[in-house]
Amino acid sequence: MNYPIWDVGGLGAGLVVAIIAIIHVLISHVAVGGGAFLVVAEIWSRRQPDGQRVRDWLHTFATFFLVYTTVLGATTGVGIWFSVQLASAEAISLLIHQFVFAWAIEWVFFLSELTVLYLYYYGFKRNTPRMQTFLAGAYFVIAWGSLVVINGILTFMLTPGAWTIENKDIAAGFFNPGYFPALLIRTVTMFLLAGLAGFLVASRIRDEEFKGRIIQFCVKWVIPGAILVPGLGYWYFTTLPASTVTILAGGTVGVVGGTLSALTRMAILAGVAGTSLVLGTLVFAAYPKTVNTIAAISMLLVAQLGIMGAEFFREMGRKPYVIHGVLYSNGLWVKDAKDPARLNGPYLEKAKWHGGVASGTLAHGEQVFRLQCASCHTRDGYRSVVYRTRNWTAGFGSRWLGTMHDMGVMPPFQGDALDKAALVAYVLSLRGETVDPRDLLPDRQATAQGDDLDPDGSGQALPGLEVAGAEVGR
Amino acid sequence: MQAREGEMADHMHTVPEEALKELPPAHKALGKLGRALLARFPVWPIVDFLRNKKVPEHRHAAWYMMGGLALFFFAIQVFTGILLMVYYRPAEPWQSVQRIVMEVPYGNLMRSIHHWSANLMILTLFLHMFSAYFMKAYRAPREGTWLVGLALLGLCMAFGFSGYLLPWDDLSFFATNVGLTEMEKAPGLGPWLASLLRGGPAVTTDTIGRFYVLHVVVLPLAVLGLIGMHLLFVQIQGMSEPDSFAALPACQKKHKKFFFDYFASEIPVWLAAFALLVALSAIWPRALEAEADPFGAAPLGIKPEWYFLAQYQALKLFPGKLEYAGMALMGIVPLLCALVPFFDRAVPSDRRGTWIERAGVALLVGFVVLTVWGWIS
Amino acid sequence: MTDSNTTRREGDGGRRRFLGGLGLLSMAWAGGLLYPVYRYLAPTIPKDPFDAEGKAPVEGVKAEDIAQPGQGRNAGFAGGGLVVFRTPEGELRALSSKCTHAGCNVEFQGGSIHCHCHGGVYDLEGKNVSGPPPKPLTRYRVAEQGGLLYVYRPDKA
Repeated sequence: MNYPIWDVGGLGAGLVVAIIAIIHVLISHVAVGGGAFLVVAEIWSRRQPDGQRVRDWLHTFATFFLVYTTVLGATTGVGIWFSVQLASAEAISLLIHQFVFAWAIEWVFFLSELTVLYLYYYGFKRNTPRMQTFLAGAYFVIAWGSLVVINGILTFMLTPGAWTIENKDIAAGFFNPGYFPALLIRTVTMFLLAGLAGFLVASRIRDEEFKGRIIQFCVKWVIPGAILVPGLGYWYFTTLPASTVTILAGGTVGVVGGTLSALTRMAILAGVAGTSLVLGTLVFAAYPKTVNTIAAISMLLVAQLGIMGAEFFREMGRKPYVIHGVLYSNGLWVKDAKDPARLNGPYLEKAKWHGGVASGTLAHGEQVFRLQCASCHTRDGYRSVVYRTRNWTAGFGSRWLGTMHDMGVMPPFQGDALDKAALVAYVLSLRGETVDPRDLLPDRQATAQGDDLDPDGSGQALPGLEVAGAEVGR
Repeated sequence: MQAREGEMADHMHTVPEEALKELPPAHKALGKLGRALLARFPVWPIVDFLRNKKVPEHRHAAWYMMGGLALFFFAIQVFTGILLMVYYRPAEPWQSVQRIVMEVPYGNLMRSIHHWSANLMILTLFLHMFSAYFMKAYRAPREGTWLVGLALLGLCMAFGFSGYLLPWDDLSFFATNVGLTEMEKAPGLGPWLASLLRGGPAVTTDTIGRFYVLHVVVLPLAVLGLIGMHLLFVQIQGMSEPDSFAALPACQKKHKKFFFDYFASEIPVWLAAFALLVALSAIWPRALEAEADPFGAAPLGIKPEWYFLAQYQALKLFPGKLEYAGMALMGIVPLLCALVPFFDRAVPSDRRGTWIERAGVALLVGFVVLTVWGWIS
Repeated sequence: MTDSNTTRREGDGGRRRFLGGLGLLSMAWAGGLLYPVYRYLAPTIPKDPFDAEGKAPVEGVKAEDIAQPGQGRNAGFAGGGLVVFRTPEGELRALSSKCTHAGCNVEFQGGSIHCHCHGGVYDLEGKNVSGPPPKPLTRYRVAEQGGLLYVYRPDKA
């Protein structure tokens, strides 16, 4: 509540971050794995009868590699910075304060990585093969180093482990329970992706015999990862906090549709993506000369879908937090939520960027929406609030806001009865209903008509509020 | 006995020597089986035909994959559709779908795959149609293939429309209602056809019976038959070659063998299509709305499926009496598409070819713009 | 994994073996995909018809319907069909109505129980006395409560 909010129309800030991030994950892992690919290919080329030809092809690969990693990788990387700090400034502030040194190291790694990559790329004509191998090796070590660093910060957000806001134990937060499984997954994945990128570059080779050899070389990079990643994913899963496991595996309303838990869906997707990669790669091994651009891109698409699924379900498991057990997704600190006076006091007095709206108006409601809902929900686009509240009556909303945290996936609401009433009135106004927030206050409601949707006032008896599989794209 | 052996010998005779040479050695199990089968079912010419099937190799060749991809999605539709029918009850539509979604193991997954595969199938069909159009694959002698293809697209949209009603939730009820009301306004056969489909003056569970039979019996039979024709035409006439490729001298024309060179390069595409289907179904399973209430208010923001959005938006552009103009347009566009092969005289230098290209671009742009417009408005 | 070198060395044999392996793998893949399909189709295990006390209500017959000795009815409960009757001595009894021979429903005929499908006969204890049935009918303890009938889970022993 200390920062303004980024209001991204029908997409929502979260979706913008997600779109940029899954592209960046693909490219950054190709960038690291590609380093190892270059080293091994350099060494392999010296044992080939036509080593110079292999190195010439490596030059083509490096061109592709340089352009993709530096242009797309760097722009999406900066894009992540831009979008995440706007989407959840509170969280980024905490991460920077905790891990400023780690990020400084990562930045040094990034600069050195680019420098060495340029030295390697422009040294193809000048340097000896031995020197080139050394440069590629240096590039790989540095690039992997940046992964080692960023992985600590990324895994911290879901599994802070022994780190607490009181002890601020940076080492415990960095080497958190999820650190090593995630590091191994990322390392195996990057080899896999390097092989897939190799297919793409090799698909344009005209000489069939040579193309066949390069394809066979790439095959060995893909197979281990495609088999290992789903299994390693299970190891990572075992390190997750209990509340995350409950959300992913259990029957939380709204997240899980009937018998099909998020965990099952994730496992099916991981299994299909992994086996599709293995099968496709074996087809490439059997018919190397048929590998064309479309086929190679198809395999990259499969990998991208796997990454997308992994990220989606990890994000789902992080609910209702941004940083697990520390900061809620609506910018509320868990420590503050434990203080009822702070949690239930008037919200506008605490929020700093509400634009000076008058209390008890629709504009008040809109500000509450922006500051407390908009980091995950949109008005009527992705994760639409209008859709999710389609069965709300005027009286129901306020009570539901009071108990939504009990569902497990929603953070607690911050504010008093008037804040709730203003938000409900605003949400109802989005579908064209005109309600004065002050009419929704509990003392007025008591005299008004009873609420047939929720007779016991528990806020839980709303039929059709969140139906099966409601984690739909609306 | 003698006569039978003679008959057998005749059949044996129809299998050419080279066919037997292609099989594994006679003493191996596979070779024995192959020889025995060939002797009984002398299908060698078909096998031989498929072995020699070739696909032209050029920079637009990727578009050839769309038809196969649509067929792939159709196969998934048949498979998941059969599975859904195991638990679906037209007499208690919503309750049975809710059971599929909430109780039956993996029922939610099957339903979501059926939903997403339907959408992807229609998307690939549109891509297939437009690519065939711009590569001028409709020209003589392939007019029949083009017309059957258009009919298939229409039937698949009817598949979508009829299947949409079956869950009997809020969305499906009102979408069907709106669709049939529009149909009713069409002059001539409109009211008659709409009431025949609806089975009465209003959409009721009686309508479900009709749509169910259409969706699981009539349309599948019709589509299977037409797919058979479509594929047979393609096999008889061979792949169409775009002008740029056809103009090349014979020595520069490169072809790929269908089995297994082309086929092998299609497998990764199918794997990716399947992974996409599973990813969409796993991440965004299809929701089931509240049970349809024929007397309740229509749900907020109700819209038809994306493949009807262009028509829906076009009709909105013609308010009041002008609505007939909009409907005429709905009728004229498919008719013109059907007439294109007879208008284009297949001479590369002909001006008509250029006009057809421009009309195609206009149609494509109009379709995309109207769809997006309908989506965001 | 068969790589290019072995493929070239062994020529067609190696390639064929590789393709065979690929085919087997594809089949394993399809098998994995069929698991959800199997689970989808596999019937779910029916709920235990007896409640915590081991009791289940009898449907299709009330106590008043068979108040007199020698009266009997075909009825059922959530766990299957029953034949419920009073013996000539007036004792209330319930037997499974599923003939142990071919699964037809049996009928109470005053002094004995008959199966019309293949002429099997049971006595009023449920014991198979004549015809093809190989085993006696399962007997349930039955009790009357407020005009309704209940059967109890048969003892394991």
